[in-house]
Amino acid sequence: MSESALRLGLLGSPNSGKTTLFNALTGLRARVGNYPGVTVERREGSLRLNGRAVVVIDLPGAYSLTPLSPDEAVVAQVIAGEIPEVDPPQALVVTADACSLDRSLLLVAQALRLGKPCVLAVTMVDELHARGGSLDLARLGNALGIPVVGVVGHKGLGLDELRRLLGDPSAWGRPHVLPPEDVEARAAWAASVLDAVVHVRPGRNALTEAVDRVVLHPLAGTLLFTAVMVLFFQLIFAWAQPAMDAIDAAMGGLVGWMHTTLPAGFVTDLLADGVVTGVGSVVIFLPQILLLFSVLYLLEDVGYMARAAFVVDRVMGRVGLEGRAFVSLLSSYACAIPGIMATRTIPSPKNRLVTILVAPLMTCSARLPVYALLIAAFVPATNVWGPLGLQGLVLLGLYLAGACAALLVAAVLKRTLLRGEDIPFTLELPPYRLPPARLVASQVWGAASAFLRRAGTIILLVSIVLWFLLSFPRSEAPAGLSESEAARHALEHSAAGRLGHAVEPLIAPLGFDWKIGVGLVASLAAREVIVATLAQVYASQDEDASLREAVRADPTFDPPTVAALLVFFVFALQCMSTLAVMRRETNSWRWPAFAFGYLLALAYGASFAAHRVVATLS
Amino acid sequence: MERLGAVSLLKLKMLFNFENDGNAPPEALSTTLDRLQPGDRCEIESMGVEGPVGVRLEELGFLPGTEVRMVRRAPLGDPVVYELRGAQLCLRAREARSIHVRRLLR
Repeated sequence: MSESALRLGLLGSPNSGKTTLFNALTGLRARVGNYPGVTVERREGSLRLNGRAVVVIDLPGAYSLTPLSPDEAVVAQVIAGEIPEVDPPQALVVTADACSLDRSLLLVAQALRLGKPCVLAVTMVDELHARGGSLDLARLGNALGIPVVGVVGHKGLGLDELRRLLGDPSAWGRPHVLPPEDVEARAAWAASVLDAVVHVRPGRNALTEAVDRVVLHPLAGTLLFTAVMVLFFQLIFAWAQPAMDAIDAAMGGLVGWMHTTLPAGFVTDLLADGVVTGVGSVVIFLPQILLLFSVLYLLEDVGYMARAAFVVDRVMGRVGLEGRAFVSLLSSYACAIPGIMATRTIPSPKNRLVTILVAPLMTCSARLPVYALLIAAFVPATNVWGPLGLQGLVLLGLYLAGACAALLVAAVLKRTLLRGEDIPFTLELPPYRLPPARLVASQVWGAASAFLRRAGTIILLVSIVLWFLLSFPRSEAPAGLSESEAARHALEHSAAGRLGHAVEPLIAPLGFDWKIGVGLVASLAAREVIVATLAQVYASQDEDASLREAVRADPTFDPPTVAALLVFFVFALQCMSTLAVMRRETNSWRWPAFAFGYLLALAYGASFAAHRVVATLS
Repeated sequence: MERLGAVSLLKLKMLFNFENDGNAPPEALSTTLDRLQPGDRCEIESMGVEGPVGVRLEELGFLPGTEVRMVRRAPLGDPVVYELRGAQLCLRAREARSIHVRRLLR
């Protein structure tokens, strides 16, 4: 690639068919990443037109070039070439929905004023015709002074004509007179342009109106919302399980195979117990991530997600957040990582940050093994009321405690540290559309590959460090110990074991001893690691039942301590991956550090209180 | 005590106005966006919002002279969907309150 590629910026408002057009032009060869220094997704795809290399930049959706949200600021900066290492586009392709040209032309006017060659792609012309509207595209081109092409991205209509044009921006022509800058004058300009080119305005979208009569009905809409959310929850929680178990088994098999096949020693241990086990404990969430994002993007592209946010906005508004935060908090029940990634749909930076900071309080699936162990060992399996058992009620209570804490903390943050509105709440309800499967697939792949890249870098690093802490310094086990007792001896004298002893005075007020201390240190990598670590500490290799017996027999685990430990896990942010994602999404270590600190303080305080209350009661 | 009286009087007035909304007299043609009922149409007269919030609403198409139709309320009463410039946009009452409109007769 010695010749420099022609760079084209794809500009358009959200829901204007921009991403569909991007996929239609570039196929699935998009490179997804982040713009340096900001958390806005960067997507570029390359293609060849008439033998010339062309790079299409899928700019984030923007209603205006007067930037308010971080996404819009990036759009303005990329076009102006103000972002280091990102070459500005030489020309722009602006997308505008044929049915809402009244509004899209406000953005087109701003694009024309930039002085770069522009092409206008009028999208969804099929929908315009279906709604009885008609439009003279040639006259629109004449009025604007630039080429105008009608396209239907997923059907490929108009793409050939667009491709022919894209290869040579120098031939596009420029507007004879630039549109005005002021927004009111721009609106008047848009009205006069449309007067000359629109034959018939589109009628109402009958399908969308009919569906909305049910979907947004006070009773039916609320029931549907509840049903969708229950289904969503069920999907990522239960139905992802078989695939997750399969990955777990495969990883376990791989570790076993490495131990039996590779020469025994330091390198094999590091590879098997450090690298594969560590990265495997994160890759195991891939089925959940895939399912979650498939459903999320499907609901989003169909048009339901905006409606869900609309239905629930009032509730979230009570704590200072907005409807879109609900979806992200719900996803956090599966795992805070996709939940935090889903906050990208929230335009207000403050609301987005608050949502990110409270997402770890939602009870993620990694806490479940810990809860399951402790509840099975210490809560009697008695029935309280009908089929409702005490164990289930305790579990439900832990889930509710997390959710209530998340809403309370959000309310406090919105009244103190992150007070005020930066962007008014606005939400567009797009018409219902059947998204092309390729669109959903490419979005899901983007999210999944970002997740895998992270597993391959920061989590790999953390796993290796943790393995060293748990394995070194090595100490000679006294002779005559069984294999499992030797493992326990090694662990107690490792750096992590010493760390467990070192933190013992700090955690003693909660009733925790060094063994729980080692578990807490190890659980910094991921919460459920504490179960595996306790299994090692109690020298009871991998048998769940025997671990349950072992902790039950240990006098350290008295009711106050068990209560304190459960409460500690409700609040504490013991998850390196979540911290790493927070760092990526907020672009600084400041907010992950803040989240870690406030959640640790909350965990310690609540845990201490729980210990005292239960000690007094029993 | 005096302040308390003033507040409840204001509340009473708001309540009165609200209940009167359904069959508004002709002189109430001028109103604010949040007072519309489903199906009502209006034309924006002026935007009473300053600063970035006002700019954002204008860039979304809430501009003097724009025709707006109130579509429906959310199940819990707020926000409200409006149709304008070929798109459907939701606003909370807090923002809609400061948009002055003139009702259009059906």
